[in-house]
Amino acid sequence: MSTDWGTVYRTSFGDLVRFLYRKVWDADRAQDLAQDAFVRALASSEDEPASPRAWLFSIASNLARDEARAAIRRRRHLTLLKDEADFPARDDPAEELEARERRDAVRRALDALGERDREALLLWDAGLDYTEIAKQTGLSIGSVGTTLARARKRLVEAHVALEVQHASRG
Amino acid sequence: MRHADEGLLHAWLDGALLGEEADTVRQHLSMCANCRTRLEEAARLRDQADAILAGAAPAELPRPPFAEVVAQAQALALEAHLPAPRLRLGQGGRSISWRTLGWAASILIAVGAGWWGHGLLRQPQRLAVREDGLTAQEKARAAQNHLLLRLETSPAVEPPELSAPAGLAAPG
Repeated sequence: MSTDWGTVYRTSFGDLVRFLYRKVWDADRAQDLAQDAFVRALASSEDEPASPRAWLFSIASNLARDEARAAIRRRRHLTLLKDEADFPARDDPAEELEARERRDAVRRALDALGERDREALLLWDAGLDYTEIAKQTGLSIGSVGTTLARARKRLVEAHVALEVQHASRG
Repeated sequence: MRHADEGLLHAWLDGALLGEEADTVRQHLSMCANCRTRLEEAARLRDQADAILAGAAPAELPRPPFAEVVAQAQALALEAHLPAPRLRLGQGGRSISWRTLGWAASILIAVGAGWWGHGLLRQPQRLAVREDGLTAQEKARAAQNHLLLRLETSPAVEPPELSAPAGLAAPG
């Protein structure tokens, strides 16, 4: 059965952007990579995938990984500037600071996870099911639940620890 | 007595268990207060994780038109000299020649992506990505909430031994 790529695009683009944002931490770049993933999928000469969404996330994940490697090679140190541009302008500076700190806490909590645990958790959050997550991560379907259980626990623990640390600074 | 391990409980919460596996776990949970307590803890953990991730959402940006994506894909396919099955669309599903594709891509680049909404690209059979409007997570939550409500009113009876479902780790 042919895939209705227009519908896949409309229903999956937002999820793909959110998934990529948790990897590159730049909203504009996440949007660009999501669009790139769809372009590559449409232009590909590979056989019709059994799961178009899972395939898209696989392409997107590879693009994000290539992006990260390229950034390391170029030794770009634009994190602070990117953070400035990533947040929509808010009237309340305190609110903006709080939003930025919240995002940084999530980012550091995610960094506390193992790579595969983090990938599985982000894929689940993006709407993929266990079969798709297993295919993308190389896990057996039976191990996805255990992986997600561990990832969730580790994420919550790391986030709580960061909040305690933040609170102790006053 | 074998009880459900954390992986099994999370798989249950996520709606990933089907058929006989789901029935086995449901039956065990209806009769094992200990596993029900652990299920509730797992649900709280899952909800906490979801809330944490929700705290890092990207700024809302407008989605580019699909026609623009198609145009870029056509250009990429032409550049790589690849046959692109997903772009072989036209009247009655016939393949479009490379000359036609090249001509079409040139027109697009010249006048913009707006032309593609008017018949040049025919959508193949629609795929119901979300047939009932619910995501996998929404279905799982509805099933879990329904179960928790049912479990609260279940009588206390000795639960059956929980054998390891096919494809999942054996409970410890």
